[in-house]
Amino acid sequence: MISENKLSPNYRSIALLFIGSLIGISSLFLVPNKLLGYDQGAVAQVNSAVIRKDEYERAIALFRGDKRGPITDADLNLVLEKLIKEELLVQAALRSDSPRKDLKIRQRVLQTLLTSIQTRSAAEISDPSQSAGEDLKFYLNQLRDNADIQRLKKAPGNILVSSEID
Amino acid sequence: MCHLLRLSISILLVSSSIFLSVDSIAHNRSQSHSNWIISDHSIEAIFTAKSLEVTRLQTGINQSLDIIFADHLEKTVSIKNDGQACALRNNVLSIPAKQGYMQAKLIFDCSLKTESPLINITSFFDFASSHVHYAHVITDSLQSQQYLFTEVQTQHQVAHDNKESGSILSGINQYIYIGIDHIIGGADHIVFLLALLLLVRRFKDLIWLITGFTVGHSITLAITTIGWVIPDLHIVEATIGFSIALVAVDNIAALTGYHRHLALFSIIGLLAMAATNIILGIGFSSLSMLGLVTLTVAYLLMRSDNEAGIGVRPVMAIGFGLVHGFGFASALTEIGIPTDLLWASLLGFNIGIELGQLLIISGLWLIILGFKRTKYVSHSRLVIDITSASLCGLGLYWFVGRSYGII
Repeated sequence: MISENKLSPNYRSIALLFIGSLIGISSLFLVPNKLLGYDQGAVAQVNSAVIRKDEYERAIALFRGDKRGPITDADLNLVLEKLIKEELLVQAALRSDSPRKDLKIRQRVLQTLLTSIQTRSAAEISDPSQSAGEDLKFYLNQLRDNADIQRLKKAPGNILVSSEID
Repeated sequence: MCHLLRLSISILLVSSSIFLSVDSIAHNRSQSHSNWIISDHSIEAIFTAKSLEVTRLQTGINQSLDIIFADHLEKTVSIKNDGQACALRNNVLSIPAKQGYMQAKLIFDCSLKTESPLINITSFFDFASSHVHYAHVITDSLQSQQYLFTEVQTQHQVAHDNKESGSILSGINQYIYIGIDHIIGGADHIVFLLALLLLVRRFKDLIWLITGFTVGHSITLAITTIGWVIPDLHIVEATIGFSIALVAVDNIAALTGYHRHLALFSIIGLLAMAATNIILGIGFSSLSMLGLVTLTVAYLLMRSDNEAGIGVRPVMAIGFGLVHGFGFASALTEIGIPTDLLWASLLGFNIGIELGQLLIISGLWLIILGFKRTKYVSHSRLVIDITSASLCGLGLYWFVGRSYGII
């Protein structure tokens, strides 16, 4: 049976409360990095993006092709550092909204996505000409369902002309 | 160090570790859902799962999650119609989903007219035995039916249109089960109820507390499900953690009478967190933190005043119930409710929550009574101290962890 002793019950309660709180908070430090937990193949994390192992290995393979002699640890660091710099620049470009503002990049992004959908459809189905269009339509509908679209100006038939704006 | 303190710390460590181990089932529950459309000779399904859920399927191979998800569904979803297997048309197609989720489309072709096909889903069960899958099926006659797939129930025969299973009663039944499953599977709700019950001595007080909590969560569950409010789930889940910690602190404050001291420490902690949020630009907004500070001060100081403090707990239970109701609603809205069964689903789910809650409370009440009566625990106060301290730690773990997206 638990025996009472000299420790005041009130102080004991408070002490236990603090210990419990401390354990609760400090347990958070034992939780593995969430992002890396998501992606077991990650070799580095740059802000919210990860550099994946396959990407890193591909870069090393390219580096190896250019270099005479064995790859050293310094080389590996160099390759990873290059990928990190590249990711930082890509993130900066995305922040500046280049893919949307620059017409060339915008077209390229659009074309890449359309090709990807059509290629996937063609690879997966027996009648590509018909179903690729269906898949694209379905894909667009899904995007539309998850988007917040508001038509803020007049309908397309009534586009404002410069005289009206003035 | 005296024996008692050493013993207490050991028990505290053990109980903390036990509670921490249940984090995997606290709101991060393993679940997925699907929407089915059954036509004459084809069956189309769209599967949805959280991206985090799909990471369970990763085997270390560098594949993107959508491919892993599609491959897994291809292996684990099948249809039989009139005894014959329906063939999967093409491969499973990954489709865009809202952030944090993955979606994939499957189309099955059946040689015979689909009357009441047998759906077989074993997805995720090998990786999470507690996984639950909700299937919402719409037949040609636009009747909607819900089916629950678990590790022990991996097959469902879709009811024929003429049968009663698509009725409102059937809808209510299905959602009662979902409600029970949600509250029993959600460790944070159970932990909150335990924190609330620790100091209850009379059955009458217990009834008032339960009534308060039920009124609170029923309101928010209803208005969220109907779509009148769209809560930020991230904030709701963190606040549920906070509610557990606050009630646990209140338990200790009630035992010691140190309401003011504990209120002061709580405020210091919250202000430190608010400062971190402002400096790093993360977590709750300053306004939300101010709200939590005000709540903490008002609650703990009001409880220090015996006159005013007597009736506070049931009223506060309504307030905490409002927060937990948002959490309950998230489970329902995530599954997706058929519009024709909105009220039936809401009613069924709420009944399920109440039944689950009664089951949990009865169990906890019996355990608490048992502890109080047993001769081996002569110091029931020590038990309350240790349990409250553990619950406070767990509440803070969820509050801070969820606020910063660590867990």
